[in-house]
Amino acid sequence: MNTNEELNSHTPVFDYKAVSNRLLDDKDLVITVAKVFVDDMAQQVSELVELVGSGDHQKIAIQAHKIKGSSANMGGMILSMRAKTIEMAGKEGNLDAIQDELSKLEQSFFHLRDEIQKVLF
Amino acid sequence: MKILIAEDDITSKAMLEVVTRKWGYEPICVADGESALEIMQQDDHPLLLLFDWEMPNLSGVELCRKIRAQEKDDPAFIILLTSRTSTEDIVTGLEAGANEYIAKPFDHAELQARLQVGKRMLDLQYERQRAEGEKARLRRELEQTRKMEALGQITGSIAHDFNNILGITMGYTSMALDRFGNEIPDKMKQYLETAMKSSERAKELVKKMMTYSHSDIQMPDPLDVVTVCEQYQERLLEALPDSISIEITSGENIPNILITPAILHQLLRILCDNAKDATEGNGIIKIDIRQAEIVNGECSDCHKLIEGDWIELSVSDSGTGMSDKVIERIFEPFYTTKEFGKGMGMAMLHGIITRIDGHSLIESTLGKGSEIRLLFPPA
Repeated sequence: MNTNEELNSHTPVFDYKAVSNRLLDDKDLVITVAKVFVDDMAQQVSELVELVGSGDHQKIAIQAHKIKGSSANMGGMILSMRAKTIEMAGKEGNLDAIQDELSKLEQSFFHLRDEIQKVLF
Repeated sequence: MKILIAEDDITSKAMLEVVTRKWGYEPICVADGESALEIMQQDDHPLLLLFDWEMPNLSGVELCRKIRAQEKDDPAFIILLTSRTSTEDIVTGLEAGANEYIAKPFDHAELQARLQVGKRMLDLQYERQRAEGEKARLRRELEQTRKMEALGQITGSIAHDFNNILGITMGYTSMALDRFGNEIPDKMKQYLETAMKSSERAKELVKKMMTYSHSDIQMPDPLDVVTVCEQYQERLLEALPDSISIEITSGENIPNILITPAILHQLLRILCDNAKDATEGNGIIKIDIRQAEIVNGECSDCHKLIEGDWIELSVSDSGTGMSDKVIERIFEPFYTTKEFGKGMGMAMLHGIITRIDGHSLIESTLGKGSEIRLLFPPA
């Protein structure tokens, strides 16, 4: 089963319940960490875009791995799964698949950012 | 309790920092393995460690190996945090020295429980080390008490008998000089005077031996240590070469102690003589008097546990310093490292300090100097 198959209509853009649980159900803590996350993730995605331009599939896999872990921690499950697809494609050296998935990943980040904004601020 | 968090992902690091702080820990956060290793090389480093597996420069697993290779008496509790979940990875992490393993994204209840396990283990480890340390100290105290008591009895007994014999010798020599001094040849008179002088030196030695076995120390009235030390400074300087100076400092409102001025002079003389020899005739001898609160101290002489408030008189020099072996035997009578020493100075100091229920703390580094701290109970 590939990552796209794992994604379904029930996969949350922003799993607030999970991240809130991880942060002891303290909304102030969630807001503090969410601000850190949004700023950092914009940078991480931008670095990934640059790496895709360079075609270095090993570095792409490493960068996608970082995005996968960080977004999963923040409850960004769709973004995490998109990153996982790119990580796997990077490990296989499949640059075409990476190109296909990159814009989806960027969109997922924008959706997540908006959803965080809507829920928390 | 301090916790070291090494995590390169900014979001995860922020999460770990806020939750551990909320649980009452003091998080120290770094973003790579090398920075974590630097912290672990400091003296007061945390013992509860939370490391991400994947980090730049040095991975969490390599960090575990390096920390395990360098640690000694107080092993840390290491939790590895990673999205790697295969059995092979878990085994690699544990074999590298991790105690626990948590999968990312972490569940806060699991993380809290694992940290509590770590805290419990570290508390137990600390208690065990403390108990072992106390047991070793008690053993040293017992051995030292037995040794010093035996030496005290032998020394006191010899000094007493020898003093009686010496009294007769000096008495008859004195009588011979008084009664026949004008009738005997000059040469014979000279011989008798030499015998008398040597007997006086022997009497001084006997007096020192009796001081060591604390059989001739009288309990006096309360005394202001600072004033006596300052008054005695000139006399101390007279006995030292010009190239050595004495600097006296003191705290404020220092309570009196129970000691006679003569005995305090004797203690200062012993310590300054030793400092003079250690500095090889050059430098500053620092004398400091203050109130000191001692927590979990161990007397360098009797090895008893020292706690509470004391009046501290310290004498320090920047001389040759002493090895641990020398410090171990320094209070024994007739033990000396000096070419012409009799080994009675610190033995006398032991006798005096023991008699007044005081203690001694010695800190010394070879090539850098020594500090002898005498602790007196307030009057």
